[in-house]
Amino acid sequence: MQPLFQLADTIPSSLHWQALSPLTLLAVGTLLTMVLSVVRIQTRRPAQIAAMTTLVFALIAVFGSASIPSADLFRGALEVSPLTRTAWAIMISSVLALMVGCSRYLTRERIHLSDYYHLLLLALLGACVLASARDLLVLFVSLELLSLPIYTLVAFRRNDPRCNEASIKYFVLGGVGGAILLFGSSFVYGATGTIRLAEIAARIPGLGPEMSPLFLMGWLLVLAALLFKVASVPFQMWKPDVYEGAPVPVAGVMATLVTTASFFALARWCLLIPAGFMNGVADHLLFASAMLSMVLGSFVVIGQTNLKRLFAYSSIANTGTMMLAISAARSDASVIGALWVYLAAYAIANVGAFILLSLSQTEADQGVELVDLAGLWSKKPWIVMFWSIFLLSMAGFPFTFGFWGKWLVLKSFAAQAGLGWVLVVLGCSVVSGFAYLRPIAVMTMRAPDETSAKWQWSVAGLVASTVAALATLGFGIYPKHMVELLKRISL
Amino acid sequence: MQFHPWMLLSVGTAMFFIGLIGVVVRRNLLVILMCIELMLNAGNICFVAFSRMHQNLNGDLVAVFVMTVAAAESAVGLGLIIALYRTLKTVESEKLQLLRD
Repeated sequence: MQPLFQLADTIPSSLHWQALSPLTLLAVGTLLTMVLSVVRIQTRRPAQIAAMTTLVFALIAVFGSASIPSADLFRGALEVSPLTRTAWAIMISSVLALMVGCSRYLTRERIHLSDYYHLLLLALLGACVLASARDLLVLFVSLELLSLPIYTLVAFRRNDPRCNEASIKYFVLGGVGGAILLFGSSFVYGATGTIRLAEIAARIPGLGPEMSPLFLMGWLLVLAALLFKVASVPFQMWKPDVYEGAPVPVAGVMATLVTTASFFALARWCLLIPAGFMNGVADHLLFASAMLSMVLGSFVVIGQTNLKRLFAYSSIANTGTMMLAISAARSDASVIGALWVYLAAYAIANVGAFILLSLSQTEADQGVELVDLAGLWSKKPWIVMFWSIFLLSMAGFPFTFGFWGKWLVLKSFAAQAGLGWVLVVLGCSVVSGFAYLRPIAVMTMRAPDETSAKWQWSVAGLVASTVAALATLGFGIYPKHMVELLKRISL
Repeated sequence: MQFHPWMLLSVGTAMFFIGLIGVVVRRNLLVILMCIELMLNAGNICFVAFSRMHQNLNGDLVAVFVMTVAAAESAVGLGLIIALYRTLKTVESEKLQLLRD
């Protein structure tokens, strides 16, 4: 019988199944949850329990397979390495925390259906495969597997026209993005004759003057689609609208899951071609996109009063910072570790922030505005404490996890760029810092308003946000283990 | 007539841009959905053409997978458009103006 995996084996075939066990468990659990949600349509409890059990087991499998060395499985289509396990751990734990922490929101909004869980797991499966894709076909299919459930989840409050509008906007732009990715990857395939990323990278130096422009065009088209997924300028316009329209937990999933998975794929795609290829067009474009996202995100975020829009613009600014890390890593691949630290810190802070956001109860449900935070300090001081931790981590204040991400990115960037650019980046950080301090100021200083939202802890929300807050502070104050560990993971 | 990959490629590229222009200029969401499908199939045609050019099966394989994904995508898209029609009573993209700065 033919063996299932045939490849230049770096690990013995007995370890293949163990290396793949997180993905296998996720896939089986997803199908099981799907069946449960169809069979027991009246009650959501079985699907909820199945989904959470799946996530816990998948997380255990990720840590259980941590000692297995890197390997490319399925003839090089799927990479399993410390890098992909990092991505899986970040994404699975974010989804688990959001699923636990936001469960009361779903009940309150009357959208607590069992379908929610299998759609979320499907998106997670797509995200995990996307982070380890080493093949153009796997890249496309996993990107769609990530996106299609998210389109549906965005529209989950289906009687709300704003929700529907957000999902249609996301769907149309995302569909065009997927088609552009496919069209671009056909050019990459045409120029190199293979769909494996490793073989493509090996054939790039041998591309003649005929094939190089074709390859570059394909590469740029795929890049555009991935930049759309992470919402980097000039493909950022969908993000504020979709965040505002989406239910809070789904916006949280987009901020953590979609961003993390897309950045892992983006980093790999950007480091595929050598620096200075075809006069360095790629280098200039990446740098320009990073800078513009940072400047636009930082300055527009100040004027936002709706908290979901605020997080959307802040994520555009953060995307810019992370793109700088990729841009710096193109000439010195050893500094890519800064990106993983940044992504982990950013995911944890967002998980916490969106769980807190789901604790509020507004009258008209127009989304939480800044006014809704007024006077929170006198009523619920602990919520204010948690908000401050997460907001300060996003801003990159010392003693939070976010600081180390920002510090490492800035350090690697400053080693290569001129003083002027470093000052621009620092200026943007300071400007966006004010946007994060503003909600804290409103919570502590402004008097409570009659119309402001009611905030109420739920047990699950308290547990999940406490874990996120402890992680943010713990890894910030004792960076030795986590930051050092993430920093050393190479692409 | 002798086959040349550039013939297929020009058809694929033309289809892609027809789809892209359609997404930009058309207002009806159903037509936009069809234009997205057109763009996906344009990618398919290019893959098949290049597959023929390189004399390997990678591109043909991609096309088979993409057809499945395209079907799933149109199913999700139609579902979303129906949900939108039930709340807003329209499928015109210019009527979508609830979310903005």
